[in-house]
Amino acid sequence: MPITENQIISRLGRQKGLYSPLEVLSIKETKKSEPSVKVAIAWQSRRVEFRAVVKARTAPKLVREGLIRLRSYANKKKSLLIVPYLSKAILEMLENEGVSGLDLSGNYWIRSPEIVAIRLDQKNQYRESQPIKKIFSGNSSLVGRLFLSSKRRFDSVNEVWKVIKNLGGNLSLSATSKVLSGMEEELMIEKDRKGILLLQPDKLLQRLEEDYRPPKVTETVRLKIPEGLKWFAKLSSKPWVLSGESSAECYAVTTPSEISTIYTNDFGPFETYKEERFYNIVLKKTDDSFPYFDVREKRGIRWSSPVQCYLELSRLDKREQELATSVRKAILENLK
Amino acid sequence: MTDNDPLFHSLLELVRELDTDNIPIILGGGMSLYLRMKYLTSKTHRYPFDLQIRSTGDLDLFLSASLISDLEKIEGLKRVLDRLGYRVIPEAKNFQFSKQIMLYGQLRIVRIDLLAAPPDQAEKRKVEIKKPRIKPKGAEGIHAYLTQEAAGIEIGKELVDPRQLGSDLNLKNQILFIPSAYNYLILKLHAFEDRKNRTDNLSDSGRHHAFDLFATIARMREKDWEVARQHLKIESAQKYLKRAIKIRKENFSKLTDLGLLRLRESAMYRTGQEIYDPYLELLANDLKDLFPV
Repeated sequence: MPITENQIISRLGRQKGLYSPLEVLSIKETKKSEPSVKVAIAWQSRRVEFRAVVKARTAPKLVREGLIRLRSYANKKKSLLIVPYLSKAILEMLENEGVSGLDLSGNYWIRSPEIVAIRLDQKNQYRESQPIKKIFSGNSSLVGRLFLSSKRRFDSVNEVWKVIKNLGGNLSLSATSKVLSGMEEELMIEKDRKGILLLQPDKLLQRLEEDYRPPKVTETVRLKIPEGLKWFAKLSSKPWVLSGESSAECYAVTTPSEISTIYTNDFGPFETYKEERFYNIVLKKTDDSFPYFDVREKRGIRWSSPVQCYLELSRLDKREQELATSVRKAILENLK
Repeated sequence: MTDNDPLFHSLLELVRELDTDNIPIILGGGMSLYLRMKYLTSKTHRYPFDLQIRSTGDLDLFLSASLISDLEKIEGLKRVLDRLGYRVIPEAKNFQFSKQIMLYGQLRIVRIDLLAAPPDQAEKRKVEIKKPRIKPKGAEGIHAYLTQEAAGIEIGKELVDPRQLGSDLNLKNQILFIPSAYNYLILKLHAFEDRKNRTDNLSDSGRHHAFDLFATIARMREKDWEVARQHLKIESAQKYLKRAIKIRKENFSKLTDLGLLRLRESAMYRTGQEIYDPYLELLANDLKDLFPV
C-alpha cells in the first residue's frame, strides 16, 4: 500500500534521530492557513519554523502542484516540501523555486536564513509501487509513439485509442487512459478542455529509449530470397515489417542493408527459403504489437516507424548510433 | 545500387565532376568498406559467410600527398564542392563540407570529409601545415585533415570503375580508388587504438573499428595478401607501420585481448556470433601474419 500524506505527517512526528544532528521538533496541521502544515526544525541552538506541503508521491506533476501551493506562502525561505524521497529531479525543482525539502528516508535540503543543512546520501526507503511504471515500454509505449508520429492535438482519450488502433497498434482503452495519466503526471502531455497535447517531445523520446525492450521474438529463421525485399513487397496479405534497424535507410543517409531483418507474426510461406549461412533475410516471429505500429509503406516496402527505427539504432554500434542521432533529429523537427 | 541510395548517388555525382578536372580521390571510411564488401569482393573459402557493413552519411576522401601539394588541383576540388552545393561545416572549418539532399521527401545531410596523407620531403615545401590541417600554399577555404597513418595510402590502391558498381557512368580518367585492404587495416588499427578506451557513444570503445578489421580480413583475396606482403616489405621501417604492428600485438594476439573482446562485444558481431566464433583464432593468426613483430 502506498503511504498517505497523513501517514507521512504522523511518521515525521515519531522519527527520532533520523536526521541527526538535525532535529524535527514538531509537525502539526492547521486548518487556518495555507500551506497547512507547520514544521519546527532545529540544528543545535538554531531553530526555524517552516510552512510545509506534504506530497505522498514523487511524480513531477504532483511535486509541481505542491510547489505551486507553497508559492501562496509569502516567505519562500521558510517553505518546505515533504516527500517520501528527494530525487534528483525534485531537488532541481526545489532549487529552482528556492524552497527547502525533507524526505522520509533521512535526506534534507534546508536553506533558510537560520539554518543551511544538506544531506542527500540516504537511500530511498519508500519506493513507490508506481502506477506509471512501464508506460514507455512494450505495447504501452504505443501512446507515446503516437504523440511522436505527428504534431496534433487529440480531442479525447477515446480518440487517442482509436488512432492507435488505426495505425496498427493493439492497446485497450483502459490501458490507453492509464498511460495518458502517467504521461500527464510526468508533465509530458497536457490534458485540458481543448484536448490532449504533447508538451515535451524530447523527454518523451528519451523515456521511450530508456525503457525500450526489443520485441519478444518466439522464433527466428534465416532465409535466402533471391529477389530480397521485392519478394516481400508482393505479399500484401501477410503481416510483416522491416525492423527498425533495417529501416535506417528510409530515415537516414546510409547504405542499404545487405541483410534485412523482418518482423512477422506468420511464418507461413517463408520456410521453404531457409538458409543458415548465406542468407539475406532474417525473419523474426513476434506477436508484440509495437513493431507493426505506424508502419510507413513506400514502394511496397513496409518500413518501421521512425521511432522504432530510432529505438533500435540507438542500442547498436557507433555507426548505427550516428544514424540514430539523425533520425532523432528528424522526429523532433517534425513536431515543431 | 538501389533507387534510393543517396550516399551512392552523391558519390557518383562527385566523381562525375572530379573527372572533368582529372582529380583523383581515394575513398576511405565506411563507404569504402561497403563498396569493397558489396561490389568488389566476394566470400572467400577461408571465411565463408556474409558480413553486414553499413556506412553513415559521410564520404571520407583521402587526398594523396601529391594531390594535397598541388594548388591547382585543390582549388579545382573546392570549385567542384561549391558547384555541387557543398558548404563548409563551421565546426570543422574547411575540411568538412555538407549539403542537403532529399530522402523519401525528407531533408537530410550528406557530408564530405577531406583527409590527406603526409607529404614527402620534396612536397613539403609546397604545403602549409598547421596540425592537424594541411593545404597547398596559397589555397583558400579548403584544407585537409593530416593523417599520419595514411602515409602509405597509395600503395596498392584499387581502381574502381563506376560500372563495377552498377552505374552507367563512364569516366575519362582513373580518379576513383579505394585503399588496399592492408592500408584499410592500418587505418583501422590506429583508429581502434585511439578509441578503445573512450566510452562516449560515438567512440563506442572502438567496437566498430574491431568489426571493420574482421570484415576486411574476411574478404581479403589472394591478391590483397600479396599487396600486403609487398607493402610490409617496403615500408616496415616506417613509423606508422611499426605502430600498427604494436597495436596489433597488444590488442589482437589472444582471444582475451582487448581488440578481440571489443569485436565480440560489437552489436554487428553478435548478430552472427554462432557463425563467426569458430573463425576468431584464424583472424588472430591472420593479423599476426599481416603485422608480424
